[in-house]
Amino acid sequence: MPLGDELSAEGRAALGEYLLLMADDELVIGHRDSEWCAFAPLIEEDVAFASIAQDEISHAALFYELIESMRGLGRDQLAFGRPASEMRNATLLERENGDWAFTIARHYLYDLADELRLEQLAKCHLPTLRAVAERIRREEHYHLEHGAMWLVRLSRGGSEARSRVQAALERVVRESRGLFQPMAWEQILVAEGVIAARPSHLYQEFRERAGTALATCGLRMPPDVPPGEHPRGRTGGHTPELRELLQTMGEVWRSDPTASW
Amino acid sequence: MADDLTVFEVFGRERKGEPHRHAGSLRAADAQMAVVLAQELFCRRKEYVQIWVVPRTAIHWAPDGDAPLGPEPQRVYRIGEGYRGTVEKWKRFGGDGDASRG
Amino acid sequence: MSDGRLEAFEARIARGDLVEADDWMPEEYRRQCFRLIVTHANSELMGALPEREWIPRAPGLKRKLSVLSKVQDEIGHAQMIYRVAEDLARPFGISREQMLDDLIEGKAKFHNVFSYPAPTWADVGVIAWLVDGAALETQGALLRTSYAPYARILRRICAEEAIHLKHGEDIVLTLASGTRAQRAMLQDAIQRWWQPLLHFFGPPDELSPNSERTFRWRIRTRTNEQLRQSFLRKYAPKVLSLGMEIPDPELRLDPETGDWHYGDPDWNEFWRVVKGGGARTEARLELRRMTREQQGWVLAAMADPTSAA
Repeated sequence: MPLGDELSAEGRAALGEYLLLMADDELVIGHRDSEWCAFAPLIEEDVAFASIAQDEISHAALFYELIESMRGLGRDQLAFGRPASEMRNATLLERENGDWAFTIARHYLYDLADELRLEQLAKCHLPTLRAVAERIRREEHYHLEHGAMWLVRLSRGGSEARSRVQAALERVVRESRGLFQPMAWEQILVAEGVIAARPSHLYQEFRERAGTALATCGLRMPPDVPPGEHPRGRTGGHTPELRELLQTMGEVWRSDPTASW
Repeated sequence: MADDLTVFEVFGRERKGEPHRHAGSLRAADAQMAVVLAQELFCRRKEYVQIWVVPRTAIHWAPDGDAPLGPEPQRVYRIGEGYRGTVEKWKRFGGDGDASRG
Repeated sequence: MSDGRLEAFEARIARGDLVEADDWMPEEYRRQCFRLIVTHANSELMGALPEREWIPRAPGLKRKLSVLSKVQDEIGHAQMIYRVAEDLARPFGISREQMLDDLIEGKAKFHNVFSYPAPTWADVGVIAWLVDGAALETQGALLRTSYAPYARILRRICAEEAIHLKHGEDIVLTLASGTRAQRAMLQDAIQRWWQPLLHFFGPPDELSPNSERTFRWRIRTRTNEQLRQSFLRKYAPKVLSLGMEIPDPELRLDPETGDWHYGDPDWNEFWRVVKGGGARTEARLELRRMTREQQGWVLAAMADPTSAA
């Protein structure tokens, strides 16, 4: 049975929105991660981080394929053919890479947020979606291990590394609420039993888990930002950084979208 | 600086039940980092079901010399070939002498 | 050297024995192996850069993933080869940091092909198919080298290069069966890469005492010209069968020997590029320099005494 056929038309539309949001998150962060390839702090890390980038882009592809099965738009069309105003990714993920500390802080906290929503999806009653969520979670486990390793390493790596990673955390945490931006269609997914609670309600648990992880490294969890003071990428509040990213990413594909590449 | 990084030798088990074999080596700040990096350096195409990392300084070896392979003539009792005579001996008891059947 | 060690070493090599990192070896053997191996490592690292420029631009998710994975493999090769070089060069007091410093200061060599620009997507296909095809010729021959740690990692490297070849072949075949613009883009890329590809194998070996010893010690096992001919036999017919032109009016098959006759490539251009004068040499070295400067604090953090946990 095609994905979402057991849902109402409204439920299917809401599911499509949620899948698109996750796909865009994974694509945009995967693209940013891939920009490190060949420029990481050590050659061994170039290889490890390139795998993480591939995982994220592959997950985006999986989600786009699910949307393709529901809406009939091709996965490359979805990934390469939409303007910034239609992208649903959180603003934090489109930010330029900055230094290694910012990259690691964002990598760890985003993967933590991702783990929370995948945990929820892995209990979903739609078998296709549950299988995809379980498959993705297995790979994301390595990401958290990798991110935690670096957080520990940087937090104990002397004063420069420590102050860089703390400064990066301030920046990342300030925008991390945007990962949990409340969306109008969330309630429909809950009402139709696809997920147990609104994804935006996972924010408190995210802050608790992040706080615990940072505390074990002796790092400070920056204070919460008031709701409404975070960037709203999920409803089109993007930065020029995303427009530039999309410009680059689609350069060849858009030169002839009907051609086979 | 980076000269202080530790060299770790990496060993991988290709299938369950098989012994670990040498896969390569890498540099890392500590064992935790070595384990994380080794997974993608040597196992990104699922070459191994399990990976070990060992600091190179933990490995000690005996000199290998240039000795020819196989046991010394007086040490054949260490290998099956030293007991070829059992085939003949079984014949005395009516056995067919097929040593492989034991 | 009258203690017989050199004679014993040569006798070992002559009977096909392999040399391990901790075995005794003549200093000259160590030096020659190191030179060959560090040049290879530098080439893998620098070789990642032209294609790396296309990871953000790859058309389609499948290509984005495959080009990223390919570049990742090349850097993975650099990692394995630098490790072999580090162990080999320890008696010389040369660390990986020293090797990377020599590279960014322009004191170390890397393959000529990685000094050229890759201005279009077709270059990505041609590099992965033909440059990796050329590299597979030389690396395949090195599988029989007498230095065992190098031979061992080359087995894995060659297996991965064979996958890269498929990735490149797939891009080239797609463009060759595509629109007129795509075919023209492919033809242009072949035009750009053909001479660098002939250069890749180096000029025909001179019969110097040095090269004689390299072959006697089985550090290398096939000459530059043998490798070039092996490449031409495999790839020239394939390029032509795609309906693409090869920019060499003298190129023809000698039906008797099976060898390809080719017009003498401009060897002055080769030497100019190898000595650091390639179009993109300076810019790419600058990228590596920048990386080393910007990431220095991370390396320092890894060696910080307070990090001992």
